[in-house]
Amino acid sequence: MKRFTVLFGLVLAGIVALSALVSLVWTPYNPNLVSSSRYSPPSWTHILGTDRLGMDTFSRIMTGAQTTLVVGILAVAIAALIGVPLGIIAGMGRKVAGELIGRASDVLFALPTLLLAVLLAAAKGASVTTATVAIGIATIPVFQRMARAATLTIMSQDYVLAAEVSGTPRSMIALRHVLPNIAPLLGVQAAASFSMAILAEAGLSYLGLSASPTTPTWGRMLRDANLFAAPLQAIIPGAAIALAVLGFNLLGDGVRDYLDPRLQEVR
Amino acid sequence: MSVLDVKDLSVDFGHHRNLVLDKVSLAVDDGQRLGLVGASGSGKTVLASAIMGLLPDNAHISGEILFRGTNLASLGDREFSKIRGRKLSMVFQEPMTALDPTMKVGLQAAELISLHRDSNPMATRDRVEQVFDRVGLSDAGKVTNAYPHELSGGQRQRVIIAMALMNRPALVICDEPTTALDATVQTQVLDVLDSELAASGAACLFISHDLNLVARMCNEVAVIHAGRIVERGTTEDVLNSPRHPYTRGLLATARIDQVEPGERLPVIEDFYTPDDRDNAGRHTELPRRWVSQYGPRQWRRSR
Amino acid sequence: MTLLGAFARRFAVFLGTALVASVVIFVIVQALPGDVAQATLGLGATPDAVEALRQKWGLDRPLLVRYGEWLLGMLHGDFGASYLTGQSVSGQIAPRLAITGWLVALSIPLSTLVAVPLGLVAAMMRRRGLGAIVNGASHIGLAIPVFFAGAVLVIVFSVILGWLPANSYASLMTKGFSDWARHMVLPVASLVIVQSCLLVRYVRAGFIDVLTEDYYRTARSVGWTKWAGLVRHGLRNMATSLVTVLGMQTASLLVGAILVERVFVLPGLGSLLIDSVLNRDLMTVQGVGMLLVFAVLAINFVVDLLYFAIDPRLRRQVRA
Repeated sequence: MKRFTVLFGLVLAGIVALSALVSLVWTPYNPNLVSSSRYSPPSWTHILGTDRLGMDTFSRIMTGAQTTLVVGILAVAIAALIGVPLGIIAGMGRKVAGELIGRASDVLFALPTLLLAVLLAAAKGASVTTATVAIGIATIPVFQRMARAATLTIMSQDYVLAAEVSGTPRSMIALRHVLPNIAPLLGVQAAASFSMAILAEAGLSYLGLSASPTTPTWGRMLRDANLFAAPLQAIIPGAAIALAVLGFNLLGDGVRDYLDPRLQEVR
Repeated sequence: MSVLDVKDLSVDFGHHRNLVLDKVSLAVDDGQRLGLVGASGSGKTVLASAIMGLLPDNAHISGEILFRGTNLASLGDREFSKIRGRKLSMVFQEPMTALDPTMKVGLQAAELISLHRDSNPMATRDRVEQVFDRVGLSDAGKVTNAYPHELSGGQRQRVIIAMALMNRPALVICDEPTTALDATVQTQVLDVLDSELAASGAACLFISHDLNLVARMCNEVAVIHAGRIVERGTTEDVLNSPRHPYTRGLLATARIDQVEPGERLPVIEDFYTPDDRDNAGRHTELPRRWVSQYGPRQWRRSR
Repeated sequence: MTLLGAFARRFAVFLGTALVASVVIFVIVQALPGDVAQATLGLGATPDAVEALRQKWGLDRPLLVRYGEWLLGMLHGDFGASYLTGQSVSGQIAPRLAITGWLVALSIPLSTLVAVPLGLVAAMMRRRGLGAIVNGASHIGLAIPVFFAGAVLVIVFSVILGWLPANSYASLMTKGFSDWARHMVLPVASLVIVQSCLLVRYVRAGFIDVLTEDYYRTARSVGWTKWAGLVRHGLRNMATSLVTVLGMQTASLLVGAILVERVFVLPGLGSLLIDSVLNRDLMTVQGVGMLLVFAVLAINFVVDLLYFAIDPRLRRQVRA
């Protein structure tokens, strides 16, 4: 059962990645090609039908996978690259530094991802970049807290104590002992945050706060769909988001079980 | 007339059906105190849980557990729950965690009464305070209003004993009731258990790995080893002239105070004949006096 | 430390965090490079025109002064005036507060009411079919964005069945309860569906923990049946973790409410926020943003107090 769900997740995530890659070189139609056949139902010429401007939905879904993946990867990278060092510092460094980082992290935690994106968009204009940066920054506290907790555990181990006593510089301890030991946890957190980032990006696109109208994204496709005239054109991108998030969630659970069996949901 | 009569009880767990109890038969007479002795993993607690009907879902059970003629093993959860806590009750090993941390202990004890019969709140409270008083909880009124974390380990175990005796059960199962307590508290709690069991006339299945406790509390003792009852008799007989090699080993290993400095500690396997021994020759030879001493007749009841 | 002292400490932390958050919001909106006046007028505008606009909006004054004014104003309930329309921000917020407020206030208790029984079943029957179904369904629900859930509900109940309205709102004050309720069912349902899928997972895990606890075994040994014992002695113990999640989820619930307002075209705070972002109406964005963050922090503060009501051990820790 467990193996089946991970496999299912792998298949879903694989489909998303594959469509993103293939869409770089080929899509059935130009995703922004306007045609006269508006709201046409699925057919052999348009597998998933067309939208209000007669654009091919299948091509747009394929292309939309690009934004989904890129935003997800970059946002998680931003969050991890900033959050993890801060977390390690908070866990190893002076008490003042730890307290300061912790409080800052609390404030950031109270700012919902979407609000941060809204503020950035208000100041700098809405774009994929502001969306990605906002999601990334809003995810920093998650990585910071996790890295701090893990660091504290490792810092209390005897081998770290031994290294400290023998005069190893703290930066060396951080690189040699702390980072490798919290790496599995980071992987698990990254997988979980990745699907959260996808969801957040979809929400921002839906609100019109992410990519420009010429870039097809799943959230924007859902926003542009007319629920009364062509409900299918809303269901398709919505299902794409849900399946992608489900896929990466299941895959994340699999990664968690593989990297750290202790974290498994026992029983 | 026996209050509990376990017949050919076997229990195994999970997909692999690991056998934990192997055709165990055991009877406890009305008002009798039977000690059940065995090492960890011998199946003591599983036997207690099986009798109480508290085995986890993945346990498979066969055989009969007759309690006053009713086969408990065939009862559904609802009917069984009417017996549990009323005619059959249990004292657990871990007083620190056995009480609901979010509920006052008086209320937890009062539930025992209201669960099983109609009783007005005043009468219930009186009964709770009366039993709390009997088990030596001084200032019972204050204790009833306390949360578990506000009580000491000894106090908590007294509460649990009070709960077990609340409805005047016919049989109380005590699973290592004092193992988690300090030595001094242990004695006090045992005294209370001893006198209250005697006063209520309840039968008791007293489970322990500690021979001293069993010798003190019980008139009969059964020895369980690897899921089987290997020996049963009066406490005197079993402790002074153990027949089964496992029992002999158990007795000897309980007396580490007799080990000379530098001497190897005795282990249970030393007392098996070569036929019993799966891993014969793995151990160095044990000084001869152990074997001769813990052959028959050297155990003194240490009161 | 007394119980009152503990509350006071938490209250201080709450206010402090709110203060810092206001600085963050102000800095992002007003102090990041990029000139609002320039952006509003377009790149072709003459420097003189831009400068005039900056003076008109007061953007030429020091940041610190502007922040101080904004903060002091908010303490009096005055969120400033929109740069674009000159309308008071508080005046725009007031009529919209109720809609977002109702969405959040209804979906928190309702999703809890849905999640607790389902989580109980999922925990108790975790080795059987029904438990696996609940668990699997919650896994899928967790992946569904709230606006998609809303869209599906509109398609089913408004488009296909025609039972309930979409794309409109009826005020409780002017249109009466039943009309209002008909307009609120679908938006609240979308939030509840998504929110309860998440809660179910925590409730289930919490109850599974209880099942392995010694006190649950004790409860069974005194005569509680499996289910009744889990409810009687598990609910309260599970509630601590539930409250934690509820606290952590307030932020995402507010975000959910904003998205849902968009789906159902409800004139709430979320719609105001998004519209003002698209119009680059900074004072309004700033004010609504601050209000939302304040709400998140306030709810978290209340959650902190709830712990004390649920767990007697905490009360003692404070006294000790």
